[in-house]
Amino acid sequence: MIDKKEIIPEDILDSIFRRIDEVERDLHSYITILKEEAYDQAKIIRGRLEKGEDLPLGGIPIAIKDIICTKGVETTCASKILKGFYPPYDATVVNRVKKAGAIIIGKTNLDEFAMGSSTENSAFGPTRNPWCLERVPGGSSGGSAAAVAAGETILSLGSDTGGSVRQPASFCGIVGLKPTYGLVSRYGLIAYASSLDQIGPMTKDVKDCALLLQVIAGKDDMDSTSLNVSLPNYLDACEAGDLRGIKLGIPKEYISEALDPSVAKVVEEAKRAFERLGAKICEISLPHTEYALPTYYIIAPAEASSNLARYDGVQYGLRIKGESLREMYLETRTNGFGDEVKRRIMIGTYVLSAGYYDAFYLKALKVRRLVKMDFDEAFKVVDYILTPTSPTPAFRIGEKVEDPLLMYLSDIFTVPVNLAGIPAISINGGFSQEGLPIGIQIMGRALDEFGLLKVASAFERETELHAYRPYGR
Amino acid sequence: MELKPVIGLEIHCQLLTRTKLFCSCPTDYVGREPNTIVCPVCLGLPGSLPVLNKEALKLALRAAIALNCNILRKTRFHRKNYFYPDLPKAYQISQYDIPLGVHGYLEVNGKKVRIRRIHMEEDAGKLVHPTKTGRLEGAQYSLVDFNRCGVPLIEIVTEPDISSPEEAKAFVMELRSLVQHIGVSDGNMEEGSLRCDANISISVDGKWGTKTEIKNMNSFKAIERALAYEIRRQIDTILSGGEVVQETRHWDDSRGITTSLRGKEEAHDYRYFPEPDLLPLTITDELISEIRATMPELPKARRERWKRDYGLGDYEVSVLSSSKPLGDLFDTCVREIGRPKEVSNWLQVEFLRIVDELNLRIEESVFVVPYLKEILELLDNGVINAQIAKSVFEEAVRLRRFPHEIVKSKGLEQVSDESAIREAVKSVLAENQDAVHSYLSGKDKAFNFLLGQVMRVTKGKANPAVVRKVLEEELKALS
Amino acid sequence: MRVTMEDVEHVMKLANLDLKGEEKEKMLKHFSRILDYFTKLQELDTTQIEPLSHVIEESTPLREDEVREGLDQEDVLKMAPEREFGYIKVPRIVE
Repeated sequence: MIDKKEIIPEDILDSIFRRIDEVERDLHSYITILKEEAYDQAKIIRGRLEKGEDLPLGGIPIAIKDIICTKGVETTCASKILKGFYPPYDATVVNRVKKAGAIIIGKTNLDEFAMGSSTENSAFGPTRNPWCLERVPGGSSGGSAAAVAAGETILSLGSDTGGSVRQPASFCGIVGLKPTYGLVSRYGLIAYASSLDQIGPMTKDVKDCALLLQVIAGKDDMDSTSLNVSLPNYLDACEAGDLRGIKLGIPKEYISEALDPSVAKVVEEAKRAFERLGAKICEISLPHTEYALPTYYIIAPAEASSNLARYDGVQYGLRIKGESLREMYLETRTNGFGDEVKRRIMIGTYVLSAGYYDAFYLKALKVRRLVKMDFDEAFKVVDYILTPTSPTPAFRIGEKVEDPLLMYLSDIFTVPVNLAGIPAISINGGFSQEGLPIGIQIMGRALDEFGLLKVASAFERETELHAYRPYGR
Repeated sequence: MELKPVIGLEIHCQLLTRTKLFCSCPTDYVGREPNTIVCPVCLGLPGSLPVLNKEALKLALRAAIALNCNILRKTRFHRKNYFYPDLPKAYQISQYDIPLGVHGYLEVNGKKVRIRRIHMEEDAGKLVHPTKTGRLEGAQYSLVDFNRCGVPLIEIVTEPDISSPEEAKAFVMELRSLVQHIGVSDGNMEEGSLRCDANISISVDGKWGTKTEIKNMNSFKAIERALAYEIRRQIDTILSGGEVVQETRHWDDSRGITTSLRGKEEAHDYRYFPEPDLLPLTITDELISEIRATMPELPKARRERWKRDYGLGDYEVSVLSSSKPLGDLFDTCVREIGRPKEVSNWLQVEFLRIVDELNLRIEESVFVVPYLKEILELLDNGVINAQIAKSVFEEAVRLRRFPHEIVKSKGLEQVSDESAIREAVKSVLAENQDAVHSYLSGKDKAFNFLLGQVMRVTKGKANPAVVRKVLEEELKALS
Repeated sequence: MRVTMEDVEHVMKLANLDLKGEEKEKMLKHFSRILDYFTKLQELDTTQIEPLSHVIEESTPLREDEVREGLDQEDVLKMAPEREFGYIKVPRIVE
C-alpha cells in the first residue's frame, strides 16, 4: 500500500519503467506500453494531487488486460484479427480508474480472446512466469499477473470467465479477485462468454485489491447485467481482526488423490493458519463439481461462437480481401483467429446447432443450475469455502498446448464459481519445492466481497506470504 | 377438386420511439448522411452492451393489447445468429420462444383474423448496391450504412386465416390504421416503416398444401398483385400435376411476378440462444394498467361511436377513419362546431380534395377548424351561397385567411335583393331568346340553363333561391 | 459420441471458417475428444431442472427514451478497412 500523501507520480513511474526495462524482454507481460502517455498523465495527476484533490488511486500505475477497451489505444485481445483496432470509447472500468487518478501504463498480454489457461495462445507470443521463466504465468490474464508479480506495475485489471484472474494469480503468487457476476461493469470488456465474464483486480496484496475493487465496482447504466447495490467500504475489511465465529468449508470433491502433493500440502497449511485465526473448518460436499468443467466448456464456447462472429472483416480490424464477401469472411476469420479460438468457435457453434442444442447446450444450462444449487446448499452451512485455486503449480511452457482437454483441467477448481456467479479470491498459500507459488481460493456468497477480503486479509497478515516476490522488493 | 388459398402474414412495424431499441442513438434515419447516427452499441463494437428502451417496450405492449393478445408476463430476448454485412454483431437480438403477446386477433370487415404472436426485435442496417437498378444483381461491391441498425421493430405474425389477396390487403390496411391510431408506428410502407411478408399455400379439398414465403411487397397494391400472382402460379402448378416447392420468393413489382430465392436460404441454422447481455424481462401489472389507461380509442370503437352518436353511414365512417389524423380532425371539428353530418361532408369532399391539390399534411391542418366553423356560419346567415362557400373555403385554406375577410375583400356576399336580381334576370332573358322559347315550348331543362346564366352574370353571388323565384315569375309573365 | 468430417465441415460453414488438410484433421480429432468428454453430463437426470441462463434474477433494466450523442462519421470510417462516400465498402455479395 502506498501512502497517498507522499506520492510523486513521476517517481513511481520512474521505478516502474526501470523494472520494465530490466525484465520485460524476458517476461513479455505487455502487448502495448504507454510510457509517454503515462508521463503526460502523471504530470496532470500531480497537479491535481497538489491542489488537494482526493484521488483514491492518484498517481498509481495500472496495467489493463488487452481485452478491455481503451479509447484511442490499440486493443487487440492478443488476436491478429483485432490488430489495428483502436476503440473509439473507454470501458467503464477504464473510465473509473482514470477518474480515480490511476495512470494507465500499458495493455497486458493474454490468451487470445481470453481463451486459455497459460497465456501461450497469444498471437504476439507467450508471457513467461517471473518465478521461473520456463513456466507459464497461467492464463488467460497471464500478462497482468506477471506484471504485478515482477513489479512492472502496481495494480492491474484482468478478466475472469472460468478462472482467468485467479489461476494466473495463483501461478504468480499474487492476489486475484473474481467479483460477483454483475458487481463490476462489463461495458467495454470484449466479450468471451457474456454470462460468465467478470473484470477483477490483480494486485500484490489484499489492501490494493480492496482499493481497486472500490473504484471499479458499482452500478453502470451501460451494462444491463450490472447490479444496483450500495457498496461497503472494502478497505475496512483489511483492518485487523481475527476470524472467530466464521465457518470455512473444504469441499471433499476438491481434495482428491489426483491433487498435486505440493498443492495438497499448501491447502493443509492454510487450513491450520485459518484455525489459528479462530475460524472453524469443516468438510462439505459440492456433489456436482465433476460436471462443472464440461458444463463450462459447453456454455462458454457457445456464447463465444456468437460473440466472436462479428470479427468478419467488415467494420474494423483485420480484413483479408476476397473476390466475394464470403471469401473475405472465410479468409479473414480463418487466418485471423488462432487454433484454440477456432476450436472453441467450432465447438460452440456445434452445441447450438439444430439437433444438438438440447443434448448439449440446454443440458449444460440445467447442470449449471445444479452447480449453483450445490453452492446455495453449502452456504447454508458455512460462510466461506476454501479450495486450491488450481490443481498444480505453474506448468512448463509447451507442456499442455497439444492437448486442449489437459489444458482445460487447469480450470477445474475455478469454473464452478463463474457458473454460480459468486465471488472468489485467490491469494498465495505457499510454495512448491521448486519455489513456485501456489494459490488458495476462497469462495463466498454472492456480493460478499467484503467478507472475502476480510478472510484473505487475515490470512495474509497471519502468513506474510504476500511479501515474497520473484525479484525481491 | 376444391382449391383454396391459405394466407398468413408477417408484418414488421417500426416503433415511433426517439431512440433505438438498445442504445440512445436517434431513429430518424431517412435522409441522413450514412453512418452518422451510430454509437459503439448499434455498431456492435467489441465490448459494447445493449440496454432496453422503455418506450419501445411500452409501444410494443400497446400494440399487443390493441391486438387483443395475451401478454406473457415473463419474456426474454434471444440471439439469432447469421452473417450479413448489414448486421454488425452477426446476430440480431429478437424475442424467440417467449414473445410479448400471443393469441390475439384483429377484426377486418367483420372477420376475425387471429394473431399468432407479436414480439420486439432490432432492425438491421442498409446496403447500397452501386448498380443502375440499385439491385444486388451485377453489383461489383456493396456499401454499408448502419444508421438504421438497432431501430426498434415489432413483428406481428398472423395465423393462416386470410383467404384472398383482397382480404390480405384489407388486413394490412386495417393493421396500419390501428398502429397509427395508437401512436405505435407511422406505418409508412414506402419508407419501409411497415413491411409485409406473406406465407401462402393452396389447400386441395381441405388438405393443406406446401407454402411459399413472399418477400418484397412494398405497397398495398403490391400485396394484392403479388398474392394474386402467387395463387395463380401455385394453382397452375397443382393443376398441371406439379408440386409446389417450399421456398422463399421475391416479388418483382416491375415484372409483376414472383421469383425463387432458392439457394440463398441453404444451411440457415440461426442457433438461437438466450441473450446473455440482457436479463429476462418481467412485465408488471402496473405497466399493463398504465398502458391500458393511456390507450387511445381504437379505430373500430371510433367508427362505432360515429355511427351511434352522429348517425353517420358505413361509407362515411370508413373514409373518416382511413387515417388517424383525418379522424382526429373530424372529432376536433365536431367538438368545436357540432353538426357532425355537415362537418363530415365538408371534410370528405372539399377538404380531402384541397389536401390533395395543395399536398397538405392532415396532421398539421387543425388550423382549418375555425375556417370551417365560419364557413358554416356564413352559410347559416345567408351571407354567402353554397357555391361561393366552397371556393372561399379553398382560398381560406390556401392563403390561411379567415373566410369572412375573403368574402369581404372580394365582395362575395350573397345578393338577395329582389330588384337587383330581377334586373339581371330580365337581361339574361333578353339575351337568351332561344332558351326562353324552348322553355316555353315545354323543355324544362332550359330553366336550369337560364338559372346558370343568371348566376354567371351575378358572379355566383346571387341567392339561388331568390333567383329561382324571380326567374319563375318572369318566365310566367312571358307565357 | 461419433463425430464425422461432415459434421466438422457443416460447422465450418456455419462459423465461416475454412480449415484445410492437417488443420481440419486435427480439428476432427479434438472435436471428438471434447464431445466425448461432454457426454459425461448425460449421467445426470435433469428432467426436473430448469435451465439457468442468467444468474441474476432481476428484470432487465429499462432505459429512458432520450437521445445521446454517438460517434462522428469519421470515427466510424477510420476504423473501416475500406470506405467510399461515407459508407463502409464490402466485396461483391454473391447469393
